[in-house]
Formats: sequence, C-alpha cells, structure tokens
Amino acid sequence: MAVRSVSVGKMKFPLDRRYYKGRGAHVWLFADKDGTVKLGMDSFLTENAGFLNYIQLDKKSAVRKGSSVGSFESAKFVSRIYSPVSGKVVGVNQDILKNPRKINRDPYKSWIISIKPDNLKKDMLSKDLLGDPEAIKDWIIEELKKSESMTETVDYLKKADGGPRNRNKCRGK
Amino acid sequence: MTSKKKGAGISGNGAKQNYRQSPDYVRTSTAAAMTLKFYPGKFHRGARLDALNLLLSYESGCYARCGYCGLSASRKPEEDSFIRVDWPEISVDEVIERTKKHGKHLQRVCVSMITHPKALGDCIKVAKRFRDETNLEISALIGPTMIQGRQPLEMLKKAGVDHIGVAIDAATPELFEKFRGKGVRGPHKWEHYWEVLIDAVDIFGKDYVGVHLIVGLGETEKQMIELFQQVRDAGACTHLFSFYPEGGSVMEKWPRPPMGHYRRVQLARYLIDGDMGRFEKMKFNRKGQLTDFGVSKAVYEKVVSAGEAFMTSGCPGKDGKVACNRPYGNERPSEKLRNYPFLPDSDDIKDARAQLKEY
Repeated sequence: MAVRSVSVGKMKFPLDRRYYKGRGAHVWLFADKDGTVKLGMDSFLTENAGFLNYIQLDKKSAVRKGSSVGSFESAKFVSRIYSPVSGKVVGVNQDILKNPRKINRDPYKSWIISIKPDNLKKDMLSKDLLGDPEAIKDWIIEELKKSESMTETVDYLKKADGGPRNRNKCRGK
Repeated sequence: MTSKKKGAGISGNGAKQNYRQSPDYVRTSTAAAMTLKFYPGKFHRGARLDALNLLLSYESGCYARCGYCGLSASRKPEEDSFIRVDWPEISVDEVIERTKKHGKHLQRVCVSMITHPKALGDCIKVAKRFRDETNLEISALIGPTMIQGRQPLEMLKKAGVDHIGVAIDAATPELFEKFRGKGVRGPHKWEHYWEVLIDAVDIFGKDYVGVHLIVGLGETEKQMIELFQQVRDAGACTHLFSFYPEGGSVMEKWPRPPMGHYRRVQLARYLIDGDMGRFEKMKFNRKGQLTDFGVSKAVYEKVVSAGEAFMTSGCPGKDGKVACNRPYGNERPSEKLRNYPFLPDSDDIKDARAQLKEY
C-alpha cells in the first residue's frame, strides 16, 4: 500500500515517519515494530547538502537527544547529523556509508543508523518531532524562504500547494 | 546532466550516445553548477562563487598527458573528476540563460581551453557569446601548446577576453618536463609556455595575465617562490593551487603538500604579487624551506592579521577583488582550508599563523 506523503514543490515527506527539526537537523525517524527507530535525512536536507560523498558516524554506542551521531559531506558542504532520541546505537547501514549517493536518489529508503530509544513515547511528544502534514509543510516552506540553495527555488515556492497558504508574498531569490 | 566518460560516450547499457561538444557545450565546475542551480547544494560557511569556471569539452578529450591532471589522456577512463569534483556538461545556451537568472552577483566567467585542435577557435566563440549576451568580465585559461604567435591572443582580446590564464603549473623546467613533457610523453614545452606568457603580458597588459602554479609537485619552497618573482618581474601575477591526487592519474598516490609548506609559499606569493616583498630578500634553510620573509615585523604582522594573503588567488571582478575564488577547490569542506574563498575569520588566521611555523 502506497504511503501518504506531503509535498512541497518536488520534495516529498512520507507520513509514515516523523521529522526532527531540532538544531536544523532535517532527520527523519521511522519507528520499527521491534521498538527500535531508524534515522535518515529528509529531502530538504539532501537538496541543501548536494550530492553526498561521505557519511561518517561517530564511534558511540549511546546517543542523547539533540546530540550528533555523525556527519554528512558533499563536495562543497559538511554538517552534522543530529539524533531526535536518546538511546543505544544498535545498527549502522554499512551500504549507505559506502554509497552515500543512494541517499540523494531516495532519502527515505536510505536509513543511516538504528537506535533503541530509552523512552520513545516521551521523545515522540517533543514539539521538534513533526508528524502532522500541515506542520511539516509550514516548516519546509519557512525553511525554503530562508534557503538560497535550492535548485529553482522560486519555482518550488510557486508550485507549493494552493489554498490559504499559497505563498503570494513569497520572494524566492 | 552528468559528464560523459572519457573517450567513450557509451551509456551504461552499451548504447552509443552522441557526445555533446564545444562550442555548443561546456563543462562547468560543481561550484558553477550549484550557483546556476543545475546541481543541488550549498556552500559550507556561506561561501559564494563569484566567477564561473567553464571547460571546453570534446569526445576525444585532452591530447596532453599531464601526470597530475584529471583530464589527462593517460588517466583511467572510469575516473571522471577534475580538480577533485564533477564537471557536468551543459549547453552554453543554458549556462547563459541561468547566468542571467541566477547569477546577478557573478563578476566573471573563465573559459578554459584543453589541448585539442579545436580549442582555440571554440574558446573564442564561447568568449564572444558571453561578451555579447552577459555583462561578465571574461578570462581565458589558454593552452599555450595550441597557440602559435601573437594573433591567437589578439583574437581572444577582440572576442572580449580581458584576462589571460597560463597554467604553467610546475615550478621548474625539470618538473614541467617530468609531469607535462617528455616524462609523460606529453606535448608541452616550458620555453613555449614562457614565450606565450610574455606575448600575453604585452598584448593584455601588466597584471592582466595570471600564471597557475600547483604547490606540491616535488618543488622546494625556494624554487616555487623564485618562480613567483620571475613571473612578477615579467609583469604577470600568480594564482596558487595545492596539489590534490586525482584517482586514476599517474600521481594518484602522491601526498599533498604539508600545510606549513603551502602556507609559507602562499604568504610569499602574496607579498611578491603585491610588490611588498622580493625573493632576493627572503631566506631559506638547507631544505629550501622559507625561514624569513624578508619584510619588517610590522609588515608581516599587518599582512598575516588581515588574512587576505590566505584567500584564493585568481582573476579579479569589476571591483578589483578576487572573483575566481574556487570554493573548496583544493580540499574537502571538512578539512582545513588552504585557499579561503572568503576573508578568514580570527580562528582561521590563528590557524594560519600556527601553520606558517610548521616545518
């Protein structure tokens, strides 16, 4: 069954997961049935980062919410990957570490790290972890307005879904 | 829009593709592709590209075999980067259209020749297009081996080119021969490069010719700095690159120059090009490492503190400041920068001070 998603321009945000906006992270969190969570990068982040050349993970067995788990790097940009949960690292996607461009091709199939959270219920209540489609859309549109790096940014803003939130006042650069 | 694999034009399933060649197509740097929004991504630390770097492109590739170069005819065909990054192939029409749309801040375009019989004519054609259709200043990075006499330079000037780049790259005739000439069965000759350089200065004027030099091809600091002075005395400037081993090239296993080596050479270049210092007043140890810049403490301190000496050296924009700033052209963005594409901050300058003393 196809997963519902919210779209902003060409970017999609599947609604089967949450999106961490804390620390400007743009990390998605997918809760597995075994109680672990998988983390990856959302499409806004992959557009900003550019074609990824490296994903490097910190050598940690435990992480705290909001702390770095590693970094991502393209030809011209580098930044950290931040965890939306506290817990133990239980898995690393070695294929993605060797082939980070897979994240650009499909950010939502390309998980990076798996964590067993200490208290997932509590973490899921955080305001920084978005699941509501309108909240996700509003957030991404705000991020777009701030960002100059998007391919055809102006077109993205013009193509944003219509209705009361149609960005007639947008001034893409 | 990915660049074609060298010499093949063959897609992954074996079907032959039409190769898109100059003058209708050029390869742009990754930074230019991002700036014109062909590629996604942004620049670390808010860097911004101020000059488009374009490279002429042919199915047969570059006829030269320079040992360090990603374009070398001797390089393994599966490797396709140049100076560390991808150079996607895009039509000149689209580059110009996007320049008008997204490149209002751009100051300059540089059209680089490769060693190919068509390169000079196509360089002139592409330069003319930018002259007629944009307001960018125009540089041509010429391949002297394809230039005989003064007329080609005069034609480039008529086509709107106001700055010439001459990529001598190697600091001594011996290294030039080793990595660009007979040593790699390549066509280039040191003497001819200098003849073309002198003609270019004569035709374009003092300070309108930039010599590309790569630190880390086996030269000592003394050898490189002596060449800076020779270039300066000839009326040209120097633009510095730090050697980066290209996968599949003859030099893929060569180390990069140590940071201390690079920083000292970089500062010496700045002093010489700015006419604040001269090679003859500098001192070197037995290993040819620079130990005294030959300027007063006050001048040294002023220059180091200002930070500009550690920025990328390249052709200027209309405001006289460097436009060709090649962000993260020499290193990964996660690494310490060798050429800053922006004015270094206090932490960067602190690092540079320490690096100057690394031997």
